[in-house]
Amino acid sequence: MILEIQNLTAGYKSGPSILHDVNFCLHENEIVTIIGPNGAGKSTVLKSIFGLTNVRKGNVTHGSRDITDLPTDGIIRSGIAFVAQGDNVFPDLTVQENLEMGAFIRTSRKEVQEKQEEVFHFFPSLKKYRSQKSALLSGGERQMLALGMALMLSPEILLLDEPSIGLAPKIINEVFEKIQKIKSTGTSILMVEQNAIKALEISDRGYVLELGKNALEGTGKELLKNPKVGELYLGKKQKLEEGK
Amino acid sequence: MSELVAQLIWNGLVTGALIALVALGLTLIYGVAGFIQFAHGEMVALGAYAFMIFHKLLHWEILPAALAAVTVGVVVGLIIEKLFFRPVREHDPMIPLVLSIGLSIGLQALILIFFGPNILTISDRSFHSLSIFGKKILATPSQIWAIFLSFVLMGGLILFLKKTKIGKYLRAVASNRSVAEVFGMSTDHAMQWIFGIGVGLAVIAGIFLGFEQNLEPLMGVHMSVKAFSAVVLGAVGSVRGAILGAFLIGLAESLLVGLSIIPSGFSAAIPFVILIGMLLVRPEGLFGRRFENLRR
Ligand SMILES: Nc1ncnc2c1ncn2[C@@H]1O[C@H](COP(=O)(O)OP(=O)(O)O)[C@@H](O)[C@H]1O
Ligand SMILES: [Mg+2]
Repeated sequence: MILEIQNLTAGYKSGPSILHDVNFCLHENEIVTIIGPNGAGKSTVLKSIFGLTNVRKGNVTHGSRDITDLPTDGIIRSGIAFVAQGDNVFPDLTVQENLEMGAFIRTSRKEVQEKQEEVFHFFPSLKKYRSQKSALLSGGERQMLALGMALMLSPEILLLDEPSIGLAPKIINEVFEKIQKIKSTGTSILMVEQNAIKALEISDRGYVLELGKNALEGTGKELLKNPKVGELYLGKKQKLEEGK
Repeated sequence: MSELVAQLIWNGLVTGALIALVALGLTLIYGVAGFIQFAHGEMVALGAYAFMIFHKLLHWEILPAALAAVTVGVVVGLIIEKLFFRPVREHDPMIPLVLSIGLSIGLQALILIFFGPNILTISDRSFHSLSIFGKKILATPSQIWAIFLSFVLMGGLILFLKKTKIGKYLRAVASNRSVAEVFGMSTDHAMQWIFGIGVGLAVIAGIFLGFEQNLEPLMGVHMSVKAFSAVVLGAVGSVRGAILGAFLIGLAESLLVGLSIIPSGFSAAIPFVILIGMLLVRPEGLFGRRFENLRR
């Protein structure tokens, strides 16, 4: 097991707990997706792993190491990268500067430059915007850039918060293809998604989070077939074949 | 162009250069910290008074006195950030704003307590006669240095922000603080950098300003009003905008009053008139983002 979240209870500052005793795990080379309604606390799970919430109980283990109380930069150094939901790039910086800043904690200039070329190779569509401000990118390109910034860290584990949010269906497919490709290079992925069908299709396993608590779990296929999941998150009338 | 106009342009450039140094700090602090630091003008006064103490009272040479004043200024800037602004950073931006207004008034009172209402001077009355565009103008050595140094500092700052890792880091934090956090960038360090640089520039402006005018407790406020107008004129948060705005205000003030287009008693209103005109024509400022909708 590469990442384990055990009995986690967390909230923001001195506010009420948002997550109550939740458990998740991620094995090496897996894509695991957490689905659930808006406000269930999905983003809060990822932020808690990353040290951005107030964790009141439970712990997060990366490999054999307890990272619950590490500061964010320590968590990044341990090999975890986070692509946040929505506004996840620096709009006033150029595409290239965004990538450089993705690797902020890295000190070797040469390594950063090499990694940058690798990322441009992985996302060829970004290369032509290299010296343009990222504010000018389309939604899909911006999401690719956000993924690229995280890849600058060569992470062992990638946390993705709603990578398909606000994107056109065709672009969503491209993003999910890239995510599968990232997995195939040996990065394990813990993802949060509203777009449950597409996400579960490419996932090895999935969890359903409701009101800050674990509701269901299973393999991607199991959850797709589960009538309760179908009813709640995939749209009642929607045929499951549609997504296949 | 008459010799008078040439002289007025020179004076306007000197004022503009000093406003620019102050405006740069203001715009940088706004960009990274997200609020207008009203006590920034008092940092100008701090520079002038600190230099006066080292140079006139302790009789240090100009250069060591200036370096000492800048050092004092930077240290004060770092302390102010840590003591006053850091604790309220995560609150509504109204709170640091009001705090900075209070700080401004408090610092003015401090100057009054220590130096009284008396007018002090660091005069430098040796004039050089320069020839620019074939016109003879009078310029003091401190004015020549002010222009030269402010251009070097402005250019240096722009390069620093564009080319160095720390510069990019500061722009990144200004651009999206929560993304910066997710990549391990410390907001605390960014604030320290920006207050150190901003107050350092304000102090340098203050030293030069002390050669141009008398030292009095309100000298900082007058300067910060002009710098604030320059910042809004150029688009809040924009570096190039602040510089251009500063020179526009410096030149406008010098020419409008010098050519008796506006009575000198009204000179303090000039920055505001330019500002209001600008806001009517182009509310986003000279360098404002017109394509805001593309950001989504
Ligand atoms: N920064 C925050 N401060 C306080 N409460 C927050 C914050 N972010 C989210 N919340 C609250 O936490 C709950 C779960 O939010 P979130 O994790 O974003 O849900 P999801 O990602 O599943 O839509 C919501 O009630 C939301 O209002
Ligand atoms: Mg969310």
